Amino acid sequence: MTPYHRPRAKAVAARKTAQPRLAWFAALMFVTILGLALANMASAQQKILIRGNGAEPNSLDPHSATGTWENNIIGDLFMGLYTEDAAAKPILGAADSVKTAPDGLSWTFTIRPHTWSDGVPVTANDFVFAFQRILNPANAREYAQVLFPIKGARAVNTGKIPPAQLGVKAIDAKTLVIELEKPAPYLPELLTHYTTYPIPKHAYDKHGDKWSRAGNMVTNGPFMLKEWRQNDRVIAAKNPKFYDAANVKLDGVVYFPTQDDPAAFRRFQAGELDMHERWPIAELARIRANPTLKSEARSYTYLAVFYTVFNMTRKPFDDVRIRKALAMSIDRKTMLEKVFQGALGVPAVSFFPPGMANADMSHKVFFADMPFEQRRAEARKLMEAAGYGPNKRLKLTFNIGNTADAKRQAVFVQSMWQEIYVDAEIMSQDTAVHYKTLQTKNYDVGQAGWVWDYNDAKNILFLFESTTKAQNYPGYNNPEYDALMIASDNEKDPVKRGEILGKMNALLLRDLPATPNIHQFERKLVKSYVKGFVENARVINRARYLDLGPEAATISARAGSLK
Amino acid sequence: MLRYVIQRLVGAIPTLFLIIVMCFFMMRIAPGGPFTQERALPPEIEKNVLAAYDLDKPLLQQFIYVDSFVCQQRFAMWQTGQPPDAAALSGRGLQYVRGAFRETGGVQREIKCLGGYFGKLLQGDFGPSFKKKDFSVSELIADGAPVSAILGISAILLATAIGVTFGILAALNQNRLQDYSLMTIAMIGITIPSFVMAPILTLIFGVYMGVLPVATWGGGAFNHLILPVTCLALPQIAVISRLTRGGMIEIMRSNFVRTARAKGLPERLVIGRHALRAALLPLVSYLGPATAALVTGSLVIEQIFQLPGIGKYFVTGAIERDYTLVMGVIILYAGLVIALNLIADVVYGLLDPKVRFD
Repeated sequence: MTPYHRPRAKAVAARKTAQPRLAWFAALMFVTILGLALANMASAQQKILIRGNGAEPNSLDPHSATGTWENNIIGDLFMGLYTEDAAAKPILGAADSVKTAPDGLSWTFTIRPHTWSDGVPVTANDFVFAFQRILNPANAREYAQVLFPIKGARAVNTGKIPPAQLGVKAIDAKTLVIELEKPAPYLPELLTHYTTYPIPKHAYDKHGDKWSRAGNMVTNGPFMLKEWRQNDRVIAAKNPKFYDAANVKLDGVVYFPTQDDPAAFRRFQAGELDMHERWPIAELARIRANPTLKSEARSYTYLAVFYTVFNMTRKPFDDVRIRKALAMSIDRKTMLEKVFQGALGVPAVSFFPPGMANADMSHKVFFADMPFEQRRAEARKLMEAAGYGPNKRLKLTFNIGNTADAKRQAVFVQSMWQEIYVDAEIMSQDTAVHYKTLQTKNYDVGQAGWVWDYNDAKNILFLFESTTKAQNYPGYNNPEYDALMIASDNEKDPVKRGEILGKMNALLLRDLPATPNIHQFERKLVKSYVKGFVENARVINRARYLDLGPEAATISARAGSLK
Repeated sequence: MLRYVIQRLVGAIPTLFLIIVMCFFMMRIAPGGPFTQERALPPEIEKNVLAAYDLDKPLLQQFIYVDSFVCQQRFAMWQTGQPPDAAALSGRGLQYVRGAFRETGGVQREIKCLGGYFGKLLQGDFGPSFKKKDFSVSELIADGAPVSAILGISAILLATAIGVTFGILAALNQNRLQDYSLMTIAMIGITIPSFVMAPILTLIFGVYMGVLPVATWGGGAFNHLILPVTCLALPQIAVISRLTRGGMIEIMRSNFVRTARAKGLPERLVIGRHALRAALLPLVSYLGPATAALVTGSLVIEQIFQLPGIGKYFVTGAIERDYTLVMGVIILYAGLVIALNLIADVVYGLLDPKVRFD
């Protein structure tokens, strides 16, 4: 027998036993398929919200996250001392009562009796640990600055005092005291921010910085992390140990990183998504023509302002007449109607967007109610007074970020300025480079925007403090303004504080280191069967308040989204 | 031939090194950094963050450095098996924590014997991602590479099968209706970019007909693969069919084909055994780099179909200045191009009797 025959002989032997094996295999397959089918039916009956979340989270560790799309997930997993209600107003969360000292500098919280998703109780120590971790310079967390109102936070973060001396102390397992540098009536808003969430110390001790991965992470919020497939999806399941689990209607949430808005819009139309962050303006005609889509494509303003900054450290932009002329000669209403078909946002007449809390909203920019022709005429006069005219035109560079919307705005603004003896050269750069350019004040006029971290006027006004340095793009330096900021920090009465903050807004609108242009619309897509969705200026919609109507069950993609 | 392969692999080392050096320094020269963003970091926080990622060191040290003191300590530890002397360490502002030498103050960065990006790379460490904080670059690539590879290989196989068939048919019917119609289709395939083709196909099959999923990977299920693989393959089909047609037309006029016909061989054998082998030569040299490009993913296809591949890291990584991530994918891509070009050359030798490897 040659070696070639041997395997063949074996094959014959194998074939004899193959019949029962085949039967076994068939039986096994049948059971598997049956099991999968049953599992499918079960998951189809579950209420799983499928959410297009805009982008892939860079991190699910509340201390590493920086984006709103990360907040959408993390805020469903964790709960801070305060949390958001359905309309994103702060309500008590992980604490069930709070006492404020008369001087407003010390807040005492009683931790609500509740546990992490593994059953270990949440204690005041989890909060102390979390605050110390994010502020510890060795951990180099980018967003630690949000916590600087806390006593000693800045000193800890710069390594001047050890983390143990931070003004966040556990009196006992149930009592937490937070001391502040200055009275901060906006503390409840601040304490809804993810940088203030507790971290499960027992899980961190066990897994180190890998504690935030699926399988290691335990949470105290309405949902818990089941799976995170990079660039594919994040799956969260209802946390049965959540203190208010009885009122959480959804069984789970799947978050898809939907970076491409047109693609997400098609998925939404095909019923693969229940919600998505932004509908594309290019689809406006289709949306307006279709009654169902029209009701599902929402638009409402949120806490954001997009503005044009003038480099006051450079001539001639130190001259308020030039800044006023440039500001009042932009016809924002026409731009929004003609260039963006009214879908981008509303014209801004103040730095404060509608829906912002804790401040006097009455101040408007002086040309707010002036007809546009008059504005343009006044602008020309101001330019002429400053020494410019048809024969001596002002040449400037207009720096913008490299996005389609910014470019379309810039071209419009450029043509408006031509009418007032200004020749603007548009310079578009990568977003990262653009903001570096603004921060180093290596520009004439630039486009910028701000989205609030928490709902308080201070969150934008601090940008124009002289101590803000890099982020103070125009280099605005007004002692009166700085003094008002200090006064507001020391003011305990919310109404009086609001008036001070309103005055600061008025100062900005008088001096125009920057001119507010647009309060942008949030353009969420929400299927009509998603119940409990409340439009709000914070654009936070926690899944614990959402529910799916009976029509949702017919969507076939739903069962597949958990696989 | 083995000698040739080894020679080529050794020759690849300086190439790869040059690519790494150039990419590293070109990226650092580009303005902005991983932590420049819309919201400027306060100086104190920026200082911590830059130190944590070694970005505050001189550029050359960020690339490679040798810390002789730590090397000595490591060597002594290896010899004696004892942990290092704490007093000697503190004199240098260092401490020994959990198997690593760390600075005592500030962000307590780790000091290695052989450090810097290239130093760590030599030890098989691609570093942490600057932006994707929960994962290392190796983990990100290991997660995404299989997805891109499955898509790319499926697309290149599909494209080769269809493209070669189209090319042969067109060549054999040169200047006839079949030729013109197939080549028109090929031209359309080249000229319509995938960011146009993909939305059209998803609209037709996903939204209007509802027979295929509009997007997502779906764990690599067959119905999720159809549209992205088609979109990836279409332009390749066009290129491959044109290359095959060109090669085929030239070869069909050559002397050895005439000889084969004169011998009375059936046309099937003339084409299959003699002509095709030679006609595929230009295709082979094209397929090497094309495969490398396809299996490292495509930003457009990944965005539109929302696929978890690595193609997006080339672009988003570069825009976000995620230095280590971009370096990781570039090294992978460069390695693949080198390897696949080598394979193409070897296959070339097998197909073409004129090529010798010595």
